[in-house]
Amino acid sequence: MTVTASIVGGTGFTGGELLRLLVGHPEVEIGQVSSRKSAGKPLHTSHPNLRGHIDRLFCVPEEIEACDVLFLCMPHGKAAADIDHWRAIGKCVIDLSADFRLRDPAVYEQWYGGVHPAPDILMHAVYGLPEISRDSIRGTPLISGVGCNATAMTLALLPLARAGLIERVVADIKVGSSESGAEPGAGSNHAVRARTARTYSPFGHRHIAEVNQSLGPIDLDATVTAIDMVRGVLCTAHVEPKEPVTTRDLWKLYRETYGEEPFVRIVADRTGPGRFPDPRVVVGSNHADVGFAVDERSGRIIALCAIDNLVKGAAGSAVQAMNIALGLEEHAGLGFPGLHPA
Amino acid sequence: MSDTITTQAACPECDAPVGFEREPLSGQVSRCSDCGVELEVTCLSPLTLEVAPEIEEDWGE
Repeated sequence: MTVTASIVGGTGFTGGELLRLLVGHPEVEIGQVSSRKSAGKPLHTSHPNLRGHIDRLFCVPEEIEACDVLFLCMPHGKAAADIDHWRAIGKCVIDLSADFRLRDPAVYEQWYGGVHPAPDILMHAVYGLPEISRDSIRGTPLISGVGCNATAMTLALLPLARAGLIERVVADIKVGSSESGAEPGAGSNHAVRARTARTYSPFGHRHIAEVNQSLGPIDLDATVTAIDMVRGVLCTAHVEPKEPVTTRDLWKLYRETYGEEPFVRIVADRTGPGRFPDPRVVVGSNHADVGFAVDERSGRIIALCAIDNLVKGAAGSAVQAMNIALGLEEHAGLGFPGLHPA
Repeated sequence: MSDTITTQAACPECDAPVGFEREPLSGQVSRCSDCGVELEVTCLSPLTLEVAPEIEEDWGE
């Protein structure tokens, strides 16, 4: 079975990452890749790592033809505005923006500060994190991408939330520069961004809404800090549990949740420099490494998750969701194990 | 009750099964492949593992 996949908005980091994964996918033929500003240029002008791997030119969005899977990699708000058009082109549409992540239009308005352009469609989109919604993804024609910080928080906390253990949690999130996208901004030029440890969202990050949608109404807040890293998210969540737990209890919970998951690894060794999740270890891979520790003095649980924001936090989850939706092998195209050292 | 030596026991740290390809020896040191803890065989019947003493290091901090 070969499926044709096209991409709308292919010059950004998530579009490039999708292409990197799809050129190695055994059952995908890449169709068209659009970019209004780069139309007519070879794909490798935006993604130099793909030179020699795909010989294709960017087209304009209006040239995109019918295909099996259509990935939308546009800025937030753009996909929803034309979603009927895109759904007429792609049998399965996967939007990597935030437009269809939240099911409730009122929640979207609260966190994104505007009325949703297509509120009637929200309820039909399936959240594209397989660890949360695998069964719903199968066969669905509209999949929402995931937020990278939300993915790290969700996967760190999922076993604890399912067990009803969370009284209150504050997630400390450290992120790499690629989270801010390929378009330069005041905070992203090298002189400002390099060697930084800059907290840019001390509380109330948008992705909290996504986590609450996935995990239920847990008492959650998050602080997000930009650090000197290109790819990666490290979530260190400080959990006040409803009842005391031991490390053995947590091993049991995390094994129950993730024992069958193909891309989630439990990393909670007792010793060694790699004893806890480290974003550097998962660079380029679709793995999410989760770990935990218990402070016996205070009872606090420290729940961790490391992902590559562009892979498990965006394009990798999207490909994984595509595989599930179309009945392909779930790990197809996603076998890269990461680099060490990176 | 059988006196047969069991070649698998639970890790006292994380409860993962820890197996031995050959019959273990008293005092033998092994390692849990799940949580990475170093384990010492402290009893053969029943097969009992305890966390081995560690050398403290700062692991880069």
